[in-house]
Amino acid sequence: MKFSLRTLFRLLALFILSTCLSWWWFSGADMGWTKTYVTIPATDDVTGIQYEVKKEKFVPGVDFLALGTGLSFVIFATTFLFSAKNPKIQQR
Amino acid sequence: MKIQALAVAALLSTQAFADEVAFDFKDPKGVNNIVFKLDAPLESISGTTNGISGIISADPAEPEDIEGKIIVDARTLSVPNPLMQEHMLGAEWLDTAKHPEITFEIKEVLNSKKEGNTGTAEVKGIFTMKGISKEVLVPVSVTYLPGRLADRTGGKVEGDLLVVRTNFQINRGDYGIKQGENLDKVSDVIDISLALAGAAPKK
Repeated sequence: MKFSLRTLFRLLALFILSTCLSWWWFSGADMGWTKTYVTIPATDDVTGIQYEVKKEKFVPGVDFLALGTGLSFVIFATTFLFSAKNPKIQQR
Repeated sequence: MKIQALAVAALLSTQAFADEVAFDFKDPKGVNNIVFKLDAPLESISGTTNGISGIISADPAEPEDIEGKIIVDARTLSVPNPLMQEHMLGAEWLDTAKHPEITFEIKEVLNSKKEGNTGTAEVKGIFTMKGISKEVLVPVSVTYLPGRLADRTGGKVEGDLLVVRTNFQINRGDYGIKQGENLDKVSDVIDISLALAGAAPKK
């Protein structure tokens, strides 16, 4: 199967866009900023104090989505710089 | 006669302090927490801290007889977004390098009511943040749990617990934190919720 450099970059842009979008979506489509931890509510048995236990977890937010979308658009835009006569790349 | 009067006064003052217990609010279990929330039109920020210490002396029989100071290590304030946290602790906002402590010092207890082991009151105190001190009045609920420290320490340490809860608001502008700036994203009003347990081990 043969791809031009232009097609290859367009596929890369599509891959980045779909990866970012699906990662964000399946992580709960958080409309806030990206988080590096989440909190789990807990209650102290003796005092009755409610507190939050931190658990390290990457939750992509809208900034992550914007960055991924932006990057894919930049890569897509650069494909217009390639002429159709660019050498073909052999893909195995 | 004069010596006798002095002796009686000394005895009375000793008696007055005899029932006062010092509760240490440095909690090795990490349960003590403060939650802060800022709800601006464009953005809602919520964070916590466990970096709490301080001593409160209280007489469980006299709810108005309470004094002490709660200290928060400002560098332990955290929000889930690392970039936001860096900005929050940075020189433009809290400037924790120069002002590493946020404190609340109890000055006066007003309108106290007692029901069983729990008391409620309005506490007048000095709240200090980013080097600026302001007098604030906060509603406080205090629960005295005699002999319950052993339950928290697996029987290793005997003693009493004092649970303090409060919710109050401050304005960041009053404490020199970007007064009037970025109000669409960072609310001027900060909602603060404290739930703290202090321990008084028996000697």
